[in-house]
Amino acid sequence: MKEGILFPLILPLLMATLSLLPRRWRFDRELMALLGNLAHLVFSLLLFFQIRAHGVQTLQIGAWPAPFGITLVADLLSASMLIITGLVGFLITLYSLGSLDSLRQSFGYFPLLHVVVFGCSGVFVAGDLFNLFVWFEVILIASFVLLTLGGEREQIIAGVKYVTLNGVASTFFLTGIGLLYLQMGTLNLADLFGKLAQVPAGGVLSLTLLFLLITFLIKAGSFPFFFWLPASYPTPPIAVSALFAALLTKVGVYVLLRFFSLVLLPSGVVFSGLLSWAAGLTMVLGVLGAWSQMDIRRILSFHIISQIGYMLMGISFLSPLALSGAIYFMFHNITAKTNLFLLGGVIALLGGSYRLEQLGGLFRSFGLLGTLFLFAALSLAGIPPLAGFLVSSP
Amino acid sequence: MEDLLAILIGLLYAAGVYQMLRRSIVKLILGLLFLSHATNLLLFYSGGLRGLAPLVTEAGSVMDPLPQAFILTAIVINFGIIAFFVILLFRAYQINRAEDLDELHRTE
Amino acid sequence: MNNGKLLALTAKYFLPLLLFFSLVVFFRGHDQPGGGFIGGLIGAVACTLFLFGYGSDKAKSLLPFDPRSLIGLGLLLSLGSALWGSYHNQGFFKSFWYEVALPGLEPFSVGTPQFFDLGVYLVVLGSLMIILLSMWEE
Repeated sequence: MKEGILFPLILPLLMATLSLLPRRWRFDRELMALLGNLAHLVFSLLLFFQIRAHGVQTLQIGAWPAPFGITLVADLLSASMLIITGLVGFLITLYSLGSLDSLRQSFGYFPLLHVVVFGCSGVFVAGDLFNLFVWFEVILIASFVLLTLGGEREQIIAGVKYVTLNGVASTFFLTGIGLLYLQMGTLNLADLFGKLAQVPAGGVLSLTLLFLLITFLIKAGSFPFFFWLPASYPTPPIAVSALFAALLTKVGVYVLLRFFSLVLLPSGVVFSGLLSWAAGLTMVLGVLGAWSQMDIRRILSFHIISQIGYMLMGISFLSPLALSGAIYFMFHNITAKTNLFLLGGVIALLGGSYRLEQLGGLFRSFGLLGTLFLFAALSLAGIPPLAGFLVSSP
Repeated sequence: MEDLLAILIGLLYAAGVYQMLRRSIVKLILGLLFLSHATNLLLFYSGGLRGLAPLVTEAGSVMDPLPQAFILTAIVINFGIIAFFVILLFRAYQINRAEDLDELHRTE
Repeated sequence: MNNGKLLALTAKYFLPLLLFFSLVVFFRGHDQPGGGFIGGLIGAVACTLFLFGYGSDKAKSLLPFDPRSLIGLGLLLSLGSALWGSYHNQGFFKSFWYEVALPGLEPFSVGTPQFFDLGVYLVVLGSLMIILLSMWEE
């Protein structure tokens, strides 16, 4: 089936569309969100097996030929990311059915959730840089409406920081795209791979790549651009925090992985030193930040930053082993982190607070919950036989 | 013409960064607008002056159409973001009753 | 809020004019400057003028649907026009044009890009109205 790559894209958009229709025409939003995300997961799995059997899938939009039109490409990495996006979307929908107040639901929570999933899916199959930019903006617009939905004081202030920094990142991205197009005459990733190999590394090219690197570092939440993350992630309802923690920064990491493993290897423009410094500092500063916090959501938010550092470190080494380690760690982190955020939400619901000092004695009253949290946290810490151990051991 | 455009782009970037670094809420939006205009001009520059069109192979007076499509898309996206940002800042102003961005920090 | 008779009167007479203008801009879109985005913006300007003249309740009753539903309908139209090519096995987003001959009119052509543009028109109109109404009701 040639257009299997389209389903993970069209489904979330269709769901968003249908849940925006007038009330008398639409089905139950919650049921639709649940089924839609489940279908997204199923179609991503199908795509994965299709790629395993037949190789990389591509699709030309509007049947324009390759370097000029919009190309969608899916390889095994994209398909795996799609699967995990579908999984996270499904689980978060499930969680938000029970936890979200009706006010937010009526304000269009579900359509926005679908649009975020739509944007992330788009990033994972985008075949050229400008297309990538558009998907980033789709995620950005949906996520900052989602972030400020409800209009509490903290959320608004977090939103201002989030939008400012991400707006600047967008202009950086676009500047990088303009400069790259000026020199290469193409933005298609596969085409760039071939053309960059023939171009000697020069001042303007390095500057261009630096623009793109900074954009992706901002999106990933790496040092020195991470401060928007702990300021904004803890403020919305926990289901939204979990969605952001699972997908948004990982989108940045994925693009770094995609773009720089494609660009760094052929052209010899060396950013890997820069990247590994940024990664190291991100790791340390994130943990130090988490250490000083007492709020579960803030601890987890800072800890995301630290773990982004691990992934970036893997990318900066640029060896196949390090890259596969980074990819594995990304999957592990998405699942474990989402878990922890959602469990944190349940804990706060039961204990009445997100503050650690007010939550003593939880394990005694809710043993199962404590055990679940323990498992997820231990897995993040890399204790055998849990999944995190495989990442930590060389 | 190209030099003039380059200088204009540089000026717009400088003005955008300067406006964003001032602490006023309104100037933050102005700064973002300047930055995005500068970027759009840069995209325009990246397409028009190389003299080759990707879809038409013979050299001639045909402009490269792709950057113009990029600019069009970028303008629309920017419009959406700025429109939302204006509302957000308006709300932030209503909550805080202060036009100074530093006032926002105090809440953390 | 009382905005005075003059504004209300202006809004009343400019509304159909602006809406007509937005439709003209929309329909000449494909080959000449214009199209869904600009048409939608002009349509939103018309509604804004009406909003200033008559307040948000009347402005809401001006729109056939809730603005959010307008976005939904617009997206559905755009998605449908994109899928039309897939349905005809020509590829996603492939454009199709059909000659239409109605009695009494010159034959004209209708294509999927126009439906896509109509979707854009509705999305722009809807999102602007959400923004403006939420600012108005502060």
